[in-house]
Amino acid sequence: MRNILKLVVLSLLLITSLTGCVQTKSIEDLAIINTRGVDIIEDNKIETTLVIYKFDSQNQELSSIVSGEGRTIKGARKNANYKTSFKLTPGQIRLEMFGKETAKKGLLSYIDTQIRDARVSDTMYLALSETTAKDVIIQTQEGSSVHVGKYLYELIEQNVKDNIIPRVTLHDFLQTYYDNGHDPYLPVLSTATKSPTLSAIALFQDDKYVGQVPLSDALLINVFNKSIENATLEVQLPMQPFKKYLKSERLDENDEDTAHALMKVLRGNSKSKITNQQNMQFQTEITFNVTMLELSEEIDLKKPKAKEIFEEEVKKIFKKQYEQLFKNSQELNSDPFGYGTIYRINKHGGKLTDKEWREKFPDINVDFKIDFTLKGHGTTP
Amino acid sequence: MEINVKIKENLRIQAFYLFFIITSIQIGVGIMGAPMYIFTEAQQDSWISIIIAFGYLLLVLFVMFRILDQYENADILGIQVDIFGNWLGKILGTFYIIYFAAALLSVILTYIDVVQVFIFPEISSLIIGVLLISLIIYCIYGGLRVIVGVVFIFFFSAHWLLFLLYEPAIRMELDHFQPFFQASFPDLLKGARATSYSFAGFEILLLIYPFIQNKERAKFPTYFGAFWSFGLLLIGTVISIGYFSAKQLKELEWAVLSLFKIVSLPFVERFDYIVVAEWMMVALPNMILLMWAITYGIKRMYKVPQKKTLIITSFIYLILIALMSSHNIVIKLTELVSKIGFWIVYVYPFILLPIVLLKKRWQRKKESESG
Amino acid sequence: MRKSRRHRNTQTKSIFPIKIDKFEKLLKDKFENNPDLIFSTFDIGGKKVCVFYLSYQVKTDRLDNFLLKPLLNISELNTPNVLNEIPIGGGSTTDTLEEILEDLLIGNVFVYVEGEDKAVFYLLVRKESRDLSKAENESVVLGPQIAFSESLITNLNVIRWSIRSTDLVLEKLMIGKRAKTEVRIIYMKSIVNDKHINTMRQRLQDLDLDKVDDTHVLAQLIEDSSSTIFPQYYLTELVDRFSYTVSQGRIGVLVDNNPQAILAPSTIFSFLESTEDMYMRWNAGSFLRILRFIAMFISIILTPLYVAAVTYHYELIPPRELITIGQSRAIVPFPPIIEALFLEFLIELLREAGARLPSKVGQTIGIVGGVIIGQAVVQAGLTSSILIIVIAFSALASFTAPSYEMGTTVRVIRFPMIILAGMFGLIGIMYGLCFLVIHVLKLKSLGEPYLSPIYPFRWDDLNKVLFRPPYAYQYKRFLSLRPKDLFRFKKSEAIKKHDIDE
Repeated sequence: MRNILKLVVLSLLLITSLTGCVQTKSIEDLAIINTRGVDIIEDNKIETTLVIYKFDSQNQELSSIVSGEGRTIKGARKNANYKTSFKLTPGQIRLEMFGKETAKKGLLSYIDTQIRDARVSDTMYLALSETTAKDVIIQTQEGSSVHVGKYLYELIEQNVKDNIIPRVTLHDFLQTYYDNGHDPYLPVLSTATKSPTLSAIALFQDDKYVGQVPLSDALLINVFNKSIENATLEVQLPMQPFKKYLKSERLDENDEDTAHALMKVLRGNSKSKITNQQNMQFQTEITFNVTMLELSEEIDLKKPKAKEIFEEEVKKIFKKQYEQLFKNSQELNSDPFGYGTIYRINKHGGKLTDKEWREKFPDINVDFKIDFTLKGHGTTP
Repeated sequence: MEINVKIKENLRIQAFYLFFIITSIQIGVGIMGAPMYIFTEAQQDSWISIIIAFGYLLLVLFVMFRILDQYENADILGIQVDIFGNWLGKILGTFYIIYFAAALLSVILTYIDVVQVFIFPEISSLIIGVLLISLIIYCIYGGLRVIVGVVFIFFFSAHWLLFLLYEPAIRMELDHFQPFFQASFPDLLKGARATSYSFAGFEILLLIYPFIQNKERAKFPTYFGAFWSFGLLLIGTVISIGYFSAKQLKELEWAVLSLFKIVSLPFVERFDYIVVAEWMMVALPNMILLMWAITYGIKRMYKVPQKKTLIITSFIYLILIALMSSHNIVIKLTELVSKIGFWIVYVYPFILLPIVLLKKRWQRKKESESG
Repeated sequence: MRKSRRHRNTQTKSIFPIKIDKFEKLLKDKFENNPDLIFSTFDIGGKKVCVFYLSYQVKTDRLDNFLLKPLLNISELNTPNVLNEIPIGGGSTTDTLEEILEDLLIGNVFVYVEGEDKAVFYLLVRKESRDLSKAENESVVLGPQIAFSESLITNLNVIRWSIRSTDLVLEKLMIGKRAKTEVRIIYMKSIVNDKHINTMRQRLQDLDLDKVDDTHVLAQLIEDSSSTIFPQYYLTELVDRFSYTVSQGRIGVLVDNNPQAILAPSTIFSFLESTEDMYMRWNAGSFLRILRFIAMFISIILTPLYVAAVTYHYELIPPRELITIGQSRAIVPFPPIIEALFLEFLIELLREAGARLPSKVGQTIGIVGGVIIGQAVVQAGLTSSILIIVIAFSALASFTAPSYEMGTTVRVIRFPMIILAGMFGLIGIMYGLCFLVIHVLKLKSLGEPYLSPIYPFRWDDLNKVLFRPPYAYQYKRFLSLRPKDLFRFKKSEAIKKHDIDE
């Protein structure tokens, strides 16, 4: 017993004498980076714009913006650290934003440093700015009363939760980037309005920005990514086929050409397969089960025929949208849908390089089959 | 040296604890890095490799039991002396102990490395070394009963981590596994061999067997323990393959730990930190069992009191930890241990068994002739 | 109570017959400067008789009515006649001085007729004790409120009434060289494991001390490990807890003049279960018990986690709390570990002050401490408001332990844990937890593992410690205690399964 006690005392003494080696990171000494913007400025220097939280009893201002320049991300951070009395730490970065010019040159080197650092969270969101990341951050600070970092992060998070845009975290981006035959995409923030807004989805070739598609296509891409629920869908329908099924009393006053329908997706998913290996023929089946939220015209959906026509019309619209989106992405030669993966799985040997797919992707054909069911229409039909 | 070991009745342990002992010593630090090594060899068919490895594992365990069953109450050290004579037997036994010692060093250094990579990049290895070694000493002082208790309790207090794998599991891309059955058979075997480091450790059975009270029921817990570690390794590897893309996984040193980086709950943002700390409860039983094997082995062969060896070995380990804590050395050491371990653990029993059987038959013949 | 006198083998020399004058002198010498020895001499029918006793140890009215009066009427005085004529039961005789002195102290009245070779004595003990009262330290809402008192006789009486069985053994031991104290080992002889009884008896008999001060002291003297912080025997003042535990096959030890009983062997779970778990319905009882386990864990882990997160691992804090914690930390001038230790210390001071002060003032301390000081400390910027919540939470959690000693243990453990967390962050906390587990594994109570039935693992016992099933399922006693009779009742009768509408 005494032996053990001696040992415990000895080792505790040893430990305490060695404690100087563990460096403390007390929360109040840190400037916790919340959002980071990365831009390339002249002669290939990197400028980082950091939204930081610092906890200072003297200063009531909670978040502030510092920027630094350097050859590497870490260098830029070091440079920024000269401008603040707090220690900049990356462990709580929620959003990393890149300028468009930067994205055109490739993002991998910036993202790679993040993934190498075990302190950086895999759950941080990535986004692109229409102009430069700095612009977006500065504009948010000037335009809104809430903290910059919180505003931008929550803007993206809320839209991801509502399934309006696909979720692209650091890990998601890297996974799609490294998967051969699948290209990553990022949401784009624009400064055109008073405060930053989501404006588009950027498509990438590997890690390089090649172009973008409108925000309304985001949901269409998202369906490829996962099974979605609770997203809202808005479609514009021609009124022509429904003339017969309008509710009678308002028949005469109505002569709008189009109707708007706002629907809630109960379940939406997609299934793609290759139908002809030789001709690179693919087939994608997309299922939407929706419930009606709002309909601008008084169409009597109680009648089975009306419902059938309605579903057919929406299917047509979706098919068109999908074909358009697919064409766009083929022109940009970026495959956000992951057809390359399906091709790889069915290819003999199961190997496919990015380069190979780059050559083949523009020539593939996809037959979109939309399965659209109106499951309910609220309390009033 | 006595070939059979006499163990006091109150020091014996129930056979069902073998399940926990086998699982704990197999699932140490090896599983954290295993997916990368297996995946490099067998690609998306790694899971087949693991199944093959498990089959082989069962075979080795079967052979070990056959060897042990030939004796009344002997361990490997006694058996080797019985077969090869006092000199050669003791040299082989010393080999065994050196292998255990190297394995222990690699386990400690790997855990320290992980802590440094994930939590405290600037902490000195010696501090964590002192922390770990002090726990090991404190535990081994309690004897085998306490050691098995630690193994048993830490088994349960670490398994909740499995629930956290739910998050990465639902983000798996199933097409990472397709197309199936692409790896050639040699590749699969290479993949199976890559599991040897994480599956190794069960050879402690050869040392702990005399302590088992109800030996007739020892087989099922042992096989089931091996099955459990097989299951865990399979889960870890399968989720890693699904969650990371191929190119990522090939470069990801601690794939299983990186899985936890995505997990976040309303009250804790980052679970990877907690997991790395909690992993102490996974790694510690492993270290304790190995340290016990070393000290017990030395006591058995050279009659040095266990307390003495424990203190001396601990100091040697502290010095080694202070000197050897660099990432490259850790990787090299682990490779070396897995290479040696492969021969000692997976091949040697197959050589030993026929010799033991022959000797026993010869003995019986002699007895019947004389009697 | 004392019908049977023990007959000593080592008979010292008889001092009788002796002259009364000489005898008186002898006794007075032994009780030097002690006015309490009453030695009265009577002359009855020509024979000298002396009656002596300690005045405050005997009931004087009984003495007068039943001893002195009849004594004066005895016609022919000799020892057998005295024994015959005096209407008090339990009269015995003795002839050694040692025995006389010893028995004088515990309230015997001696009668000696000059010339006889034996003295007669009667037990007319007067023992002052407080009435049985409600339990103060282990307060319960449900169930019997009665607690042990200081009087061993009363306690034994209460126990006999609560376990009316001839199985109940109340073994008597005298402990202490200079001043003897009566100690009783109480158990059910058809259930208890003999090994435990022998160990307990052995340990008590082997004690080499001059006087037993208190049950707590005795418990610490017969512990398995004296260096640990964990209590190894449950000390209870509740009669129902005592009788329940004894009827389960454990041993109880009562010490004279002490209102506490030792229960042995105890496991760590004994300290976390309350008798109330039994009186509640099984689901509520289980809930409360699990709540207590969680409370203990929280109490040990919460403050260290705060210290670790704020000192080293800001990454762990969820983004929403990050701002709140950061802002409240910003005004505090100390590092988190000092801040936490300071506040823990303050709470301990409040608790200690509350316990020491008279109960009326104690309440005020609680209010002053909780409300005013807490407020002031935060306003002065000495601690962050988040930490106040954390500390209050963990202090509250530690008070849920039914055993005051266990609660104290948990609170003390927190301090090294906070220091470890402040030194090594999460790794330090983990180190502390691992150390605790190993430590608890090493402990034993009366030779039984402290963590039983978790380790050594007994599946059958889990339902008695981790939660509480309905009574129909509690048909076994603790398997880990290896009682002589494992079954409390037959399972088949308790759990009958019926099909629908049968």
